[in-house]
Parts: sequence; structure tokens; C-alpha cells
Amino acid sequence: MKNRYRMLAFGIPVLLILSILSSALVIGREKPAELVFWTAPNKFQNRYNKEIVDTWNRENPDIKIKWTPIPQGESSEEVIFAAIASGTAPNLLTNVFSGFAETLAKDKVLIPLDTLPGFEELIKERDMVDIIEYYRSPDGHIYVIPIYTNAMLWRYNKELLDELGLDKPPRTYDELLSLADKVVVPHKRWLVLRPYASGWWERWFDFMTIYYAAGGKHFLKDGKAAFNNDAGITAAKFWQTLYKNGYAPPGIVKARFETGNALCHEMGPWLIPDTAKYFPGFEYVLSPPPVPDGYPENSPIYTFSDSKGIVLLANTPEEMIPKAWKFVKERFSLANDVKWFEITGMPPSRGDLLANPAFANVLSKQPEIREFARGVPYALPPPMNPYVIETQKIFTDVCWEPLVYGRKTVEQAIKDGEIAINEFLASQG
Amino acid sequence: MRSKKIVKWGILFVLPYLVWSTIFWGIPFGWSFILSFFKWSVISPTHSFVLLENFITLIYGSPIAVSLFVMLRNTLYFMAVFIPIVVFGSITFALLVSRIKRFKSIFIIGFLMSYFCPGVGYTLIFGEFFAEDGLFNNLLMNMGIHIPWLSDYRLAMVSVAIIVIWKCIGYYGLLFMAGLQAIPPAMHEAARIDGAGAWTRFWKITVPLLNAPLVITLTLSTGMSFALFTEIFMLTGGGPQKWSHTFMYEIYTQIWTYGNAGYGSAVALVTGFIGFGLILLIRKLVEREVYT
Repeated sequence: MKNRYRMLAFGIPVLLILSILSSALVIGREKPAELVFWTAPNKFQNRYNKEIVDTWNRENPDIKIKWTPIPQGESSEEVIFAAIASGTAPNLLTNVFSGFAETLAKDKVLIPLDTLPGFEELIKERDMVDIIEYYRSPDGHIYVIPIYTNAMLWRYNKELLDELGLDKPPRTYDELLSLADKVVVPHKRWLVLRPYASGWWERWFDFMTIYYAAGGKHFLKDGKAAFNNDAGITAAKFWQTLYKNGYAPPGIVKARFETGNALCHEMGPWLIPDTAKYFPGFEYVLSPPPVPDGYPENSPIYTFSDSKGIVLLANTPEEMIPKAWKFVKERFSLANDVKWFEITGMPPSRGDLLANPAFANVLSKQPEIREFARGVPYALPPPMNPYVIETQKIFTDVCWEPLVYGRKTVEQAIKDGEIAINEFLASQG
Repeated sequence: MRSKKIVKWGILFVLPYLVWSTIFWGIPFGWSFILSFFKWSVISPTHSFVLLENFITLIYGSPIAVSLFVMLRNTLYFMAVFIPIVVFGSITFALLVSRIKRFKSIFIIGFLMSYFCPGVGYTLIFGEFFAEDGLFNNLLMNMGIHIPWLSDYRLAMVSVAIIVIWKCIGYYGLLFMAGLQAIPPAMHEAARIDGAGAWTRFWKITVPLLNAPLVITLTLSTGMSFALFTEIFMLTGGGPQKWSHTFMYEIYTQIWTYGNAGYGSAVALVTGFIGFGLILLIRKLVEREVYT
């Protein structure tokens, strides 16, 4: 009995020490050079990334790419924060929006891509000299190259439009709101299926889409809030009318647009394959977001650009940076862009999308994608400001939510949002 | 001599647990304590000493930080709904199940399952129930009633409490069942002979003798109230109007949404102290020595 205790007392610590030592030996064993590459957790993007990584690994046995989708979380940004803090961040990362790239750049987490050889040529080759300017950091460098530009559009249920006797979607707020009486069934069918949600990123798809369409140009500019203007107030009034009258749901709903529960909603191209797969035969019409009454007929309609790019992290060993950069350049080749467009349906961030014959096949196969490609020149990405997440959360709390629930007038809500954001930005120095 | 030897062996046996606790509990706690006096972004290599600034911000709030009093109000509101219902509900559950003659264990396991269900899974299902056009509103629609379960600031926390009550009632009920089984039947028998009715026996014998499970249940449910996260994270996002913004949600948001590890640590410390203090107070007020 005594011996058994003794064995246990010594055995457990010895086993623990042995297991730690063996792990250390495994970790210490030399492995082939490897770059860790994280991408957006999206099934279509997964297919694309697997293909290009497999090709790279076949052709470059000296330096392997270890690819995984970004682990699940409330947002990719939170997962990336956690990974950087815990020292498990990748070397190459996609799904980074402009403002988040600026947040990471501020803390010296990223390598400026414009300092790497061949950057200028790559940008010219992709005809994105103008596009890349949206992504220039206030310090003059480029830390993120956009992969795709999803110009947010609005989608209308064709069957409902037919029932309403309309051959094209309404263009202005008045035209849309005048249909409410015929469309809305309280708590069952809405004019616009855009349930209010409090996440900071949600404002991209409600306020900012309509704000840019109303002629707004900036959410933040020169380190200050820049939405307290006619466009901002007009866009916010439109949304308040929708929520106040029950034309849009104030909270979560289980209804889906494709099951006829709304006349319209905002849409990115990532929904095209899902609708085709799960609701074959469902017909819809795409249109730019609605504009204020009196908006000139022939003026271009701007919208929010849900655009994500690729960054190279500063944790990448010096000797591996050229290889990582080579991979980035290959990832942006014309052939890979065509493949990306075919598989994901999301327009690559290129200026020659409609003009380059290489994309003609994809565009002719899916007319819906053409609509999104047309919107690329008019799509405005989030600002290059390291506090996009904070300012959009403040905007949500101080301005948007009170406005949705009718606790503030639009003018007051917008003013309060502007003051709170400016105070916050001033406190950050 | 012999007792010294026993102590030596005892220490050896306890050592793995002590090492484990030091590495995975003690060091993080100490690190968190130190961090709470610093301003530090989780991704930044530098951090600055700010003394009590994080604690002052916690009291007054800021554009991106919810004040201590708002979080405390929300937690107390949740406790006021959750604790009375879960305690009475689980006592009722225990009394009902203890009367079941056959298949008792099936009922117990059935109710207990909710406690071990993954939070994300059941919250998603409840999200469907509480939706504007969800199951509950569809049922109520026949009576011409519509309840904004999650979009009304007065109701959001009540809806969350309903979910947590569903989760906990089986487990707490089991604790009360164990308490009921520990009451000697002779006590009830003697009281009955003395002419005490069922109601009197329940209040004078059953309830006082359930003090131990009551204290455990109150401790667990208070801890649960201060650790409320998954349901908030997935359903309300702390809203509407911050009425469901809890301590845990604030800690998570500060550290992982804004990267404010120093401030998040200060909130975590204060949350721990308030929760621990409240549990101590409840035990002092409720705990009694009970002899059967």
C-alpha cells in the first residue's frame, strides 16, 4: 500500500516532466520554413485559397504556406487581436478592412507594402492607381492591398414588384415609402428587411450605404466626424421613418428575404451563390441604394464598399519577407483574379474589371455579378483611421440606436454622435 | 515522526494542484492586477502606467466604456428576476420529481441536460423563439399580442433571465432534491401526528431544512449573474440602450473589440470583488447551522 502511494507521488510529477520535455523536443526539431496564411472563413473563399496555396506549395517546396481560415469569433478583428496578443498571429492575413489595417499599422504590427520591390508595377498592372489611394495611411504608406470591392446594392423581390405593377425598383425615398401600405404586414412582412443590430460594423450596411448614396463623402475626415451634413441627416431621417413606422424590423427576425418577407434589403455579392443554391428560381432585381427625392437622374450613385484586403505582418522573419511578398504578387495575378471572381463572385479590386476581356466570361455568365462590378468605381471604403471600430460603436450608441427607437430627433442624434466622436478622437491625441 | 511523514506525503500529493493553480490561476490574476494600473493595447509593444485612471473611468464611464453603475443596475435587475424564479422553480421541481414513483431518473436527466447544453446552441434556439416574428410572438399573435422580447430595453434582460432560468432549473432542482432526501421522514411523521397540516410542515420543516441547498443555489446563481455573457453576446449585444450590458460583456468588449487590456483588467478585478462580496453577504444573511 505504502509502495503504491510512493509510486503515485513520484510517478505523476515524473510523467508531467517527461511530457513537457518531449513536447519541447518536438517543438525544437527543425521544420521546413513555413509562412502562416489566414483568410476569411467563407466556403467560397476557402475553395479559392486552397487551390492557390496547393499550387504554391507544389511549386515552392523550399517555403511552405500553411493556410487556415480565420478561427470563428464575433468578428475577424477580435480574433486577430487575440492572436496577436497571444503570439499566434499569422504572417499573411486577408479579411482586413482599411481602418483595421490602420489600427494594426499604428502599433507597428504591419509591414508597409509600398516599400517592397515591384509594388508600383503591381498596382499599375491591376489598374488600381486610383483605388489604392483610398488605402493610403496618413503616414504615407500602404499597409493593405484590397482584394475585392463589394459595392453594396439593394435587392428587390421581383414577384412583389410585379404585384405592385412596377417594372423597375423605386429610385427615391418617396417612391419606396409610398409602397409601404401595400407591402407591409405588421411583424410579418417588411418594406426593408434590415433588422437593427448593435454591432459596430452594422452601420456600414444601413447608415453609410444610404449616406454615401445621398451624396455623403466621409464618415471621418482629418481626424474628425464628418457626417453632420445634409446627406447625413437625410439618410438618417429615411432610416428613422422606416423603423418608426414598422417598415423595417427593430430587432432580430427569423424571416428571410427570399421567402417573400420583404420588398427589398441591402445586399453584397456574397449572397448570390447562397440564393442560387438554396432558393433556385427566386427572382430578384438589383439596384443602387435609394436616393433622396430630387436626386439628379443621371448622377452616379455612390455606395459603401465592403472591401477587404491582404496584409503582411511584422512578425514575419526578415529572410522570409521576399517569399511572402512573392506569394502576395502571385495571388494578385490576372489568372488568379479571374479564378477568384469565378469562385467567390466578389469583384476583384481592379480598375479594368469591365474593360479587361479576361473577365468577360465570368460577367456574361452571371448578370447579377455585372451589377456589382459596375458599382466598383462608386464604392467608398471605410476611412483610413485607426479608430474606425470605436467611432462606429460610439455612433451606434449615441446616435443610431436612439434614432432607431425614436428617443432622439434625427438632428439631435446626429449632433450628439458628432460631439461624442470628436471628443473621443481628441482624447486619443 | 509519523505525522511529519504524513504531512510530507500530503504536500507531495497536493503539489501538482498547487503548481497548476499557480500557473493557470495565480499568475494570470497577478498579471491582471498589475495590468489594471496600465493603459495597454493588446497588440501594442508598449504600455503606460496610469495609476487609478482605469478605475476612475469605470466609475464615470466614457464614450466607449459603460459605467460601473449601469452594469451594476443591469446585474441587479437580472438577479431580481432570475434568482426568485429559479429558486422557487427549482424547489417546486424538486418537490414534484420527488413524488414521481416511476422513471424518476428520466425526468431528472431531462431537466439536467439543459445545464450541460452548449450556451451557443441553446441561445441560437432561444433567439428564434424571441425573434420579432419568432415562435413566442407567433403564438401570442392569435391573441392579438406582440411582445418586443429583445428590442425593448425593459424586456431584454427579462428574456435573457428566462433563458438562464431554463438552463439552471434542473441542476438547482437536483440540489434541492438531495436536500429533501436528507430530511428524515420521521420529522414529517411526528409533525403530522401533532396535527400540523401540509402547508405548515412545508414552511416549518422542509424550508428551514433546505438551508444548505438554498445557500449553494444562491451562491451559484449570484456567480452566474456576474458571469453572464453568452446570451448577451449572441442576442442583445448589451442593448437596447445598454440595459443588458453586463460586466463580462464589458470585459470582453474592452479587451477584444477595442484592445484595451488594462481597462478590461480593471473591470475584471472590480467585478470579481463585487461578486465575491455579494456572495459573502448572502451567505452571512442566509446560511444557518441546521441539525437533523
